[in-house]
Amino acid sequence: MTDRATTEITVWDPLVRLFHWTLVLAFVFAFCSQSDWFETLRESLLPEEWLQAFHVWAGYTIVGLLLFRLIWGLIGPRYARFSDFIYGPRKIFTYTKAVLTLRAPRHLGHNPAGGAMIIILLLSLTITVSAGLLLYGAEKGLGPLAGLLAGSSDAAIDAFKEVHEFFANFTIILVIGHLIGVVWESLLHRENLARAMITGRKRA
Amino acid sequence: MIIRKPLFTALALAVSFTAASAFAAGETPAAPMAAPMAATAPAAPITKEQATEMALKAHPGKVTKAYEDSHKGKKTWEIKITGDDGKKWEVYYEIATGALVDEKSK
Repeated sequence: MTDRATTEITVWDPLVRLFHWTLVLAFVFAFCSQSDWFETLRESLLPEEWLQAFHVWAGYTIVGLLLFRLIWGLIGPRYARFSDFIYGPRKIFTYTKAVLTLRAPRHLGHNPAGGAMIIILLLSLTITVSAGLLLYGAEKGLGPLAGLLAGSSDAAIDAFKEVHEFFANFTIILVIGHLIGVVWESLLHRENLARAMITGRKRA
Repeated sequence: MIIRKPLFTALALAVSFTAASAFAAGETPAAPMAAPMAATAPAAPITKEQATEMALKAHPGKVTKAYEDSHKGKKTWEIKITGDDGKKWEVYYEIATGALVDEKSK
């Protein structure tokens, strides 16, 4: 019982972990390849044509990952399922208050606040890539929606761009919130949650 | 587009044209330089340098980016200019014809 290895169980299955880290890479790549923040830095590294191609493929990767996660949330193992981490607003609020006052109980899977963050992150990413696909089709006449959006007005293109950029930036804010939550909970319950997303294992 | 100071614009055009010509000549020695002289679109493929030159004629300023990009279903040269008019311009010329596809300012 005192042996740490024997008291750990696998919480995050390999596909959830692969999903998580591939999503991190794809999002970072997509964001850095087009955001105004890194314009000067990346221009000295790669030509714009390449950066746009990378951005689009990173976006397609995110679309694939989101579709996978939707299915995995319905048919995956216990801790991967939406039913395991979707809580009502009252529970989320109560738990968040408990976390802030350092009295939150530990959860093996996602806690109510963490679960809510995952859902909001997934929704924000879904809106970002959807608007991205619309923008790609309308502005450049490329991608799967190109035929549908041929002849889009400038106002429509601007609207797609605004939504795409707003939700990409909003996702960054959510990621920061997610990271603060991970660090906060790790300290509160004296466990390394980031490591658990790599190994899949948590203290039972 | 909005030309409020003709003398200044002419000077900027002359400077940018000379600079772009020198640049284009260095990059593509075989490229015909007559095509961009026409204000309207020449019906022949254009080089990036020619597109840059045309964009600068329309919107004098500093070219910040010039690259191949699709725009509204056409293969274009996208030229980004920080204009002397204080606006940021994006000008698109169809590569195959040199036709102006779109221009936007922020």
